[in-house]
Amino acid sequence: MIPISLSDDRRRELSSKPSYSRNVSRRIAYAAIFTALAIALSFLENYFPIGLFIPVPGVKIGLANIVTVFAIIMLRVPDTLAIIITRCLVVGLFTGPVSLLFSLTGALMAWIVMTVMSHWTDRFFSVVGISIGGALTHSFGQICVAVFLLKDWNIMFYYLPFLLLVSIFTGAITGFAAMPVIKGFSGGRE
Amino acid sequence: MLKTHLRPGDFIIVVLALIVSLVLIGKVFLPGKTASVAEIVSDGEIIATIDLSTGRVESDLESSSVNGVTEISFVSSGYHLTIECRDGRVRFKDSDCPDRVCVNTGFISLSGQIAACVPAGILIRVTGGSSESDPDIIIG
Repeated sequence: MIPISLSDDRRRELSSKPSYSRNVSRRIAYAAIFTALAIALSFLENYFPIGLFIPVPGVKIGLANIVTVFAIIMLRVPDTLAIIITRCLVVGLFTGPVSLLFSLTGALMAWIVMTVMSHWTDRFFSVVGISIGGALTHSFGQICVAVFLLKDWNIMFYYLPFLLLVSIFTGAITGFAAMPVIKGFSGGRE
Repeated sequence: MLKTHLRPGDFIIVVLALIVSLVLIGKVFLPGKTASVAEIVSDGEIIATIDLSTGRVESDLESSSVNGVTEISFVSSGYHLTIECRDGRVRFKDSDCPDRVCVNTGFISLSGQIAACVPAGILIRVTGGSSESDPDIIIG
């Protein structure tokens, strides 16, 4: 059974969360706070040059994914999308159009996959699984952009396997980081 | 309420990713043969080829060769690139592109390896060498 739209149960559960409030000002405030947090994490990432330890060019942890995972589980779809796109555009102002194309494609593809996966949260996937799925998709999306820009299919086969391996770890890291945040915001009870 | 333990789907997705990446790595990298030719590709077109054993360059671009070290410097999409070939290996020696992923890739020498400078739209791939297994990877 695939619940494409939210079940009544899930809707009742979500509407009890502060961040899923009907109050528009509150939603905007949440979206703004988490956009700022995502941008800050994107810059903080430069202080963790994991590329030095993992010999795959261009790898990063993807700390902003913590915010994306949180938003997908806790916020509404348009709010989440606004956070992701604004973050990519603002960070892109500093890194240039090519990096913007990479991050936007990766982030949006990851968002689609994680949103679909989040329908099975707690039943089939935990937050960590969703985060890993997003990281894998993000890598795949970036490779697609590289293939598109350089018009060479070999990139797909020579970089993708290594990026996927790294993504399992980075996705797990951001997933485990997002878990306590989500738990805290949903009342911390179980 | 949110569960904090891992669910079965988590493990399935990790195992699937491991299988896909290990199969790809095995297929592409196990025949690790030393390459004989480096091709510099811009927009899908070969703009220079370098014979890795002799360091001889076939290209309209300017190149210099001193003591077995061959260097090609050129401008692509507004970025200045220097490609170096020595000891049968080739690398992006220098680039003024923003992320410098290309320079950090380092030397490549095994048949099939690639190094790319995406901002400049330049790709180096090394091919050739003994007993090819290329049909595995050519799809387009």
